[in-house]
Amino acid sequence: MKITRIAVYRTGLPYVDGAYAWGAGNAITTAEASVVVLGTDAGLAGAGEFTPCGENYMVAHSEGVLAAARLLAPKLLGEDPRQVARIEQLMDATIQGHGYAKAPFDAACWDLLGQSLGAPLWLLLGGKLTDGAPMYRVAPQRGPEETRAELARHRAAGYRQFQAKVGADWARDIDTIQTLVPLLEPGEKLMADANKGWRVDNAIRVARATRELDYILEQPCLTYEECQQVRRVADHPMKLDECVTGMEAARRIVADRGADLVCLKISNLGGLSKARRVRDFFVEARIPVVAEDTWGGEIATATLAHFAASTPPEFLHNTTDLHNYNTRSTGRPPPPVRDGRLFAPDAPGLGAVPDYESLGPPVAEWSL
Amino acid sequence: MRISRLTVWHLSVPLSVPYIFSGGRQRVDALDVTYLRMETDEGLAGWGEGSPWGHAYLPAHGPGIRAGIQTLAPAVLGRDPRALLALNTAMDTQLPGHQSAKSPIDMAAWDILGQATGQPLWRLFGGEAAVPVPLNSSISTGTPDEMIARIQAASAMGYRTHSAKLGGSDIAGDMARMDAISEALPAGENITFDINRAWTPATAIRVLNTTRARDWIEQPCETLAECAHVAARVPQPMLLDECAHSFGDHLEAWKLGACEGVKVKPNRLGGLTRCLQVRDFCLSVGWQMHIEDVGGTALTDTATFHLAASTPASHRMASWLAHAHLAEDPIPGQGVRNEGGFATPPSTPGLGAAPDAAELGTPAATYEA
Repeated sequence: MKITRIAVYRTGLPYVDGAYAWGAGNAITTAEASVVVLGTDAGLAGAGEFTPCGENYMVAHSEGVLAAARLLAPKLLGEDPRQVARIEQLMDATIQGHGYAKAPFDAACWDLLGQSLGAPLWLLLGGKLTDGAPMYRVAPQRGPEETRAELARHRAAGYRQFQAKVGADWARDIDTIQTLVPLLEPGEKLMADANKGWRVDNAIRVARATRELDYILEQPCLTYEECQQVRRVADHPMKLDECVTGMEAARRIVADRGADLVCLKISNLGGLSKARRVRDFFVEARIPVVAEDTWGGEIATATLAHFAASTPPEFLHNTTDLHNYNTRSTGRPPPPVRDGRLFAPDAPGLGAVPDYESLGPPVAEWSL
Repeated sequence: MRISRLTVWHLSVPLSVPYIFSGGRQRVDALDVTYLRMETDEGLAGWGEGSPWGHAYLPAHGPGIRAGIQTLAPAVLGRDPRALLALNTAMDTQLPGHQSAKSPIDMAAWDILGQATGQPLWRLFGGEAAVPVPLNSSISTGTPDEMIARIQAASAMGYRTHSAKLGGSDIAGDMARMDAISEALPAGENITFDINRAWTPATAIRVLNTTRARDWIEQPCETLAECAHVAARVPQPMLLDECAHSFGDHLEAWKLGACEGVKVKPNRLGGLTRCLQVRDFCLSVGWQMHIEDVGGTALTDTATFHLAASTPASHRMASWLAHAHLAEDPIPGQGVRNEGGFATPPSTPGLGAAPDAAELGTPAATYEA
């Protein structure tokens, strides 16, 4: 099988609830999705997606996929997409770094491998170890009565994990955590996610003021070193996210026991092939993971649904149905969601095909 | 003063001789050059450049630099270009990482600051005079005899410091190259063996403890941790390059005792502002520096030689003239040039070199406030 056509599509994904706020004063209303479609001489087409949570959330921006495609496409045309590790090496030899821009190409190759074998991705990744990955919901930050009512609605829908978005104003963040934790029922979890928004001194203030409360402190500060400075003082379990950028970061975390939980965002790790190796390394080291991505529509969510399904349940903290955060789509059908859980599609490959009506015409195209 | 317009040009500038990386892993035939002109509402204009050395040398590629400038432009337009730290903070907030896209913007802003204050950049960087900076050659890999011949040719052009590229899968070949080159080196000349990350730690330790050479070794392995492991077990002084991208990386290298010197390169670190922070750190911990860029035309070289000339000679080794490898010269006669093995930065305000926009063809992009 040979890649004969490469097309890049772009579309905006408006946030379902107006503006999604994160960290210190950031908010997105529309995320810019890039979808890569690889056509082959076998008549099969594979798809992959990268969508950042705003241009400045991570070392990844939406213009980067098309820019990388200009250099990658000439090298990939004529190659066998089923040889996913060979494609990974070829991409890494063509461009250093820029893993997020390679991620949709990597996913599209996995999609083609699965389709060519008639197998869903979860089977190629080792099997369905988790049938229905638990999801979390962002907890509302309003008055106690309103918050209590909304938590009850999420609870009825099957959710047991909640995330508080903190990181902007540390003093108000203490109130938020003190309000939310007592509203939880036994067995439920709260992650207070600062999205790297606090300074070290303020993160320590928050941790000290909430010492008696049971919640998970998530990526309090920008760098790994700053987070470790907080970890030496904080009693809470720590989850690291944005600074988990690859195997080198994973190696340090395992060696230092630098986190109790890690969030694995497929694009932040350079695509499914690399994310899977990092995931397996953490599981071997008995550190639970979140199977996730920065943002995305149906194609990105289908990819992470397979990633989550192939993770042992005792080491899968949670996952996210990213496609339900948008009012537009990148693919169809949407990956199944029931009872607060995300299920991996059973159709061959990714189990989601591009929604060309939503994507519009390609912004760039290469062919043999 | 406000930045009112950014104009971007894309040039492909062929190399005189194709460049082969250590170990023959990559070949560069032409540089993908991005020129950037930054205009202000007060009429001053500054120039910047971003020219990665091929697409697989560092996490930097030409289309990516231009895409990065597109994403950065809204945060840059309308700002005061003279407020360099504020400009860099705004760029880091708009687009984390992607340092290679920030470097041309930072360079153009320094050019404007220099023009606005009537000072050459070497003075703004703390220098006392426009001192001539010795040149560092770049010796592409080959047989020992071929490499010695290239070093002799560079010596004839005035070069007294050389950087020889090693690092094949053939360990015996690398040992033979190092011994032969080190012994053939004329008295008074210096050489660095640049491995460009090609060795595993085991290979590095075997080669470096067997060779008779006691010259500088540069970036033997891929990661900082690997290089630190090697540095603790070999007799040669160590330089780091590709594994240091941030101030924090340099701090970590110092804590690990991983090196005695570094390459200071604007396109890798994110611009002259970031290089200044690293340069001053290196001075404070007693490291040696090669101050140069990853690649470029004489415009880029002019910027790095301002920084090199402003750095105390006690901590500064030689600097590479990247444009000496190019078959075409987009700014003919301007900026730093090889004068008997040295190059001296201009003493006119700002960078002291500016491309002729009319000669650059149609811009690839224009962004306006």
